[in-house]
Amino acid sequence: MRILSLGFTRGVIAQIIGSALGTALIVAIRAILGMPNNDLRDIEPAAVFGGFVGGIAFMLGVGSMDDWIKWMRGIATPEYHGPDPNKPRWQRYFDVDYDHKVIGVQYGVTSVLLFLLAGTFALIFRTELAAAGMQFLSPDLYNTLMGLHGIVMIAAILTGVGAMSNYLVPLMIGANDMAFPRLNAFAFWVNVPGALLVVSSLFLGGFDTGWTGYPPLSARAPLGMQMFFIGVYLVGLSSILGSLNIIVTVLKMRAPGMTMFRMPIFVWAAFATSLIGLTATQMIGLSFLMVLIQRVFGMGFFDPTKGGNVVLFQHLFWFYSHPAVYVFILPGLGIVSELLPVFARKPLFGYKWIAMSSLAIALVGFFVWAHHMFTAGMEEYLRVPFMYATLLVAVPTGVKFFSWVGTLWQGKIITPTPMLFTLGAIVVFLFGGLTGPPNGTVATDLHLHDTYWIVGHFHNTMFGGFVYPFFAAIYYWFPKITGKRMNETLGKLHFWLMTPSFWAVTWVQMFIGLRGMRRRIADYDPTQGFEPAQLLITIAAFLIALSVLIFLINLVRTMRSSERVTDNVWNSRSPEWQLPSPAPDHNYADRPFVVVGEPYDYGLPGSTYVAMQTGTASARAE
Amino acid sequence: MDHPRRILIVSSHPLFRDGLKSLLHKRDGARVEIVGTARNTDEAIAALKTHAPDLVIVDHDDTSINRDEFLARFIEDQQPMRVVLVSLKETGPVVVYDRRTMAGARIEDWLNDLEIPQPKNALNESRRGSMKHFIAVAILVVIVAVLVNAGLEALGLMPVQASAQAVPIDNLFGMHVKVIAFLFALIVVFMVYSLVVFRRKAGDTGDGAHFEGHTGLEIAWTILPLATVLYFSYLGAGALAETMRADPQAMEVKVIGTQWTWRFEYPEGNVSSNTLYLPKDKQVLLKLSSTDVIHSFWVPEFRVKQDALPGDNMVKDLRVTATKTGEYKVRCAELCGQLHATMESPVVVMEANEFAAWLDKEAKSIPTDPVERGRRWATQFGCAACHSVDGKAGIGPSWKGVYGREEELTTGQKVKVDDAYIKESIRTPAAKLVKGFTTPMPVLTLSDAQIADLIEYLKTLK
Amino acid sequence: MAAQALSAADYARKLANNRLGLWLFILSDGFMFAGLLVTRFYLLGEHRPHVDQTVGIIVTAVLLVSSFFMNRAEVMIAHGDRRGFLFATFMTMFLGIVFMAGVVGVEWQLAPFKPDTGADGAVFFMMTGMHAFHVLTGVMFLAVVFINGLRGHYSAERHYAVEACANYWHFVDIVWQFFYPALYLIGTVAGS
Repeated sequence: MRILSLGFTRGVIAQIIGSALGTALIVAIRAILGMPNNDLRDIEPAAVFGGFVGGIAFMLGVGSMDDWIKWMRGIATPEYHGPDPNKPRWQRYFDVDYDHKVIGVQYGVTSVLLFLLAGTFALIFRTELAAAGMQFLSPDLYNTLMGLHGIVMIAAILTGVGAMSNYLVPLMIGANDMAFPRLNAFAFWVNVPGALLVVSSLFLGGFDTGWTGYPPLSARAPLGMQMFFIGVYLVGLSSILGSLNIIVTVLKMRAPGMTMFRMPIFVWAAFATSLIGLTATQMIGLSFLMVLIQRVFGMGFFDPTKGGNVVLFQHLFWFYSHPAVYVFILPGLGIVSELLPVFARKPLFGYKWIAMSSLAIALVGFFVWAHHMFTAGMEEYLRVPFMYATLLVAVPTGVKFFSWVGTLWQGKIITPTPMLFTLGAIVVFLFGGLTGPPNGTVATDLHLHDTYWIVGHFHNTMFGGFVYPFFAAIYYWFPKITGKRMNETLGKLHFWLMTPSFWAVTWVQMFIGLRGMRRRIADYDPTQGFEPAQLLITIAAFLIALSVLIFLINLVRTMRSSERVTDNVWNSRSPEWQLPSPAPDHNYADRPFVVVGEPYDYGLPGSTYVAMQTGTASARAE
Repeated sequence: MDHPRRILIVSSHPLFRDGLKSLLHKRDGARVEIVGTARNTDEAIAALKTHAPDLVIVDHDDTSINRDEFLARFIEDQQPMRVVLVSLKETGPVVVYDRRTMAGARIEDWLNDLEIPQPKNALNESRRGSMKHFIAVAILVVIVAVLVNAGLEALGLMPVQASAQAVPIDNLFGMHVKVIAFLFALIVVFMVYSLVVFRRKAGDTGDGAHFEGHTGLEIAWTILPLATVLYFSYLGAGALAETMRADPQAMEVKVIGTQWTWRFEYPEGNVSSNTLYLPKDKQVLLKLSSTDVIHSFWVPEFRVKQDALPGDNMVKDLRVTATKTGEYKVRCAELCGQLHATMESPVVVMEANEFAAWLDKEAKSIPTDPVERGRRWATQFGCAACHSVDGKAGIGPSWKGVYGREEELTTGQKVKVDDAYIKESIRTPAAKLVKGFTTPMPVLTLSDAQIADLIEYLKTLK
Repeated sequence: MAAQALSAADYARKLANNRLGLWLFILSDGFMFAGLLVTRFYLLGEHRPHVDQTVGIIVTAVLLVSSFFMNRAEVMIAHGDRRGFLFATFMTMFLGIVFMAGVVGVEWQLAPFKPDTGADGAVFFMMTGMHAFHVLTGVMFLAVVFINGLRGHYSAERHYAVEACANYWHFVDIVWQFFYPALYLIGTVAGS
């Protein structure tokens, strides 16, 4: 049976069986000890144990730990596992495969699927919100869908970041793969049981806390809350391990001549991102684990009746979750820096400053977390240094914007679809960035916190910092990945439909937020006059969905077409474009390169960035 | 000079070729050697290889030779060579360009083998042209910034300003809007201008100007934003201090958030209310707390917001000085579960004397006898809807003889209806349900004192 | 293990990558333990839980001695002394198990509070529990190294698994050197 031979299928079956067995084991032990097993509250410890066992079972079932288990048994494994010649090529993407390009595509497809899922949740509750009064959702279901929208979008972004980093970094630095290919595969696959657990919360009572999971509310939420916690734990593990891989790869595996300041700029972005992902992510794991343990064992970290403190959770949680937003946007901003020179035919303005600005954002980003807590009840004076640090992040961010303008200025600009999304990313992220300082300033934040202004702000930063660059990257590197090029007309239609619709959503959100529209509410008072605005937002959201549908149609049509595109389509100086398309297995094994010049010397005739070592025509710019 | 410079002449016009050849021989004699001539691009490229000249002279005015294509193919090879474009129509210094770096040198210097100067920063060369662009953009930025700011202000972004604390907040927000308008204009105008003016023209296959950066600009656009954010932080700290300015005469009101309603307790005379009454122009110190999860107190017209936390030592302060009479709403601003969306209470701001009168009336209307007070609370909180006093069963157990009675719970456990059980049943209605009754009580925001009064009343129901 | 099949140059490159990778992993794990320390000071402040000092000093000493043996194991295999390496590895494992027995088996039973009675219990059991879990995984790592060592998989030139195990073990020990003062030494015992 073809389906059963897929790693993915084996993993899912293993997870189901593992969860059931794990749950049953604890239920049995409880029964033997005379403890009750009557309702969901009683079964919760068993279900939590089952959740973890199921996750581990998935990873064993899909085959992501096979080589390591062999090593533990003292058995050597080959360095590279090529595609199985007995299986059709497409099966690679459903199995454990160690090729970073395959893993990059796996991440990318997972990201798009999660994006569609989270978007669907949004469309459902946006429909409910279009008119005042509860039309078809219950408040509990609304809260769950809204919380799922948040966390599944975050998972979509993390896997999208994983797609871009894993596919591009080795190709850009001249490596044939990542430093730890097996770890790479593991880090991808662990997202699948994580996502399954998160979505399973929908069928186990849901959760009413939003993705931020604040106790005490999360300590008394239904069982779905625990599935959410375990699922996020696994997704976070992916982030940590993927970041570790990127850091080692970038530091240790660059081609000869590629000093740090001669890397493509996206590699700097991925590197800075990975510094955050490696370290800060532990804090969301810890904070969620502590709520989980409070629920299962009664340990009252965040229970004031047991000496606990609810504000502590927020400190631990936001210590990750603020730097996390820089994980979400730094790669996308790196894509912007990467693509502008190609389409303006000019050097990247201030390359070194842009590279350093990514590191600066990552560093300063660690010191601002409590700006999410200005009204939370922490020490009043403490809010001031966090305000200073928060506004400080604007400085390296501004360096990027000004450098992008400097790159465009006096260029020779063309605007195919990837460039449209790149330019769109800049403008949308600009809105996001400009609406940040009022939130970072404590006094104004007292009014803005927990309103639709915040919702508008972060949707702008997320779309500008991730969604648009991700689309730009897909349209741009599609020929490199598949040897086919996506349709320009549909691409432009996608952009020109998505962009004004998106602004209709977020500008209106910010406007009504200022006027009193709170966030995370299933219903609103019609006397506040928000109904027309809510209807408009809902319609615009559906238009965004339509534009995504156009993108998907483009994707499917392109994959089905037989037109091949094999050359340096965008006339880029970057090393991966000096390879044939689709990129060959083993990347540069047959044609390594040496770096002989600067990456972005467009406009300097005769300048070369990389010299391939096989005697074929050197790579150069026009 | 060690050897004569080998020269290739490229032109389709015989007069240009031969004329230049004899001119060079006459002028430079032994220093130059004409190694060949070419009539078109392909011949010229071939001649590069066969003759390997030091210098190629290309006829600038010859339209049959595609200069761009020639130059593009000229720089393919690494063998040192230079090219110069000579025109019979235009005048100016004669500059030869190096094939590999396109660095320029005056022909006299090259012939005399002097030091070749470094390529100048292309920014200087195009500076005169770009000045007019900068001026145009600067004007547009100012116009757009002013228009955007004016437009945003005209929209009336903030709700009615109804508290003293709102004033510094709105002022600061207005300053933010100005900076937002300026920066938006700055970036977007530059971008749109570039997209229009610096768009690649049809057929142009060349690259843009090669400038990699400008340290002065980088420093400027690091220092200026740094100064701006530091200044705004300073302003922000000042505005925050103003919103927190304490009036020692402030009246304290306890605000208790419970899933999913608010209760307000005034210190005088045990007055408790589900509507927040406030005097105009008098600072009120709200003492926020929660009985269960995190809630948040917010009236948009007052601007300031503060979370209400559970825990005995987690009472938080929020100072509000209402400045406009009227009716407002306080709505919970921190997701607190199922009915977070509808957790709201009315806020009524009255003239100070009216408020004093209200408070007085409320305090006086409370009986001094705890039993009477208990009966009042029972009426006020609608207990009779489910609990009879005459023994008849209803949605809830009858109160006749309830105090001290032993009841069996739905779990089979037996419990005595004492003070602790009554209090627990009110605070967590679903915890211990009496057998035979399946509907838990709604959450009721009685204070501890009110529960004590209610118990006294229950004791009298035999 | 996989190491044997590689050329010397390839092995050297992989070794460098593996070393950096392990340090990064340890850095990441360190953040988690730092979060636990923050929790301890946030919830308990100047107080410390009332725990048995004798047991505390004994288990701390046991863990430190185990690190000594771990280091001996690594040095001995680097010198090709297989028997010494095996003995030292076994001692490390044994002492690690003694540590866990001391903490989970003795200290946890002796504690005058339960995990769910208050902040003391929550903090103490969480910190020692997470640490003990890492000791457990360290012991499992040691077991794998011991068995593969018995089979002769490690040589003086190629024994990265031993080095990695040792670094991990030392990390777990260092974490305890921070947890021990935080739980046993710093602050005053709260009144009952």
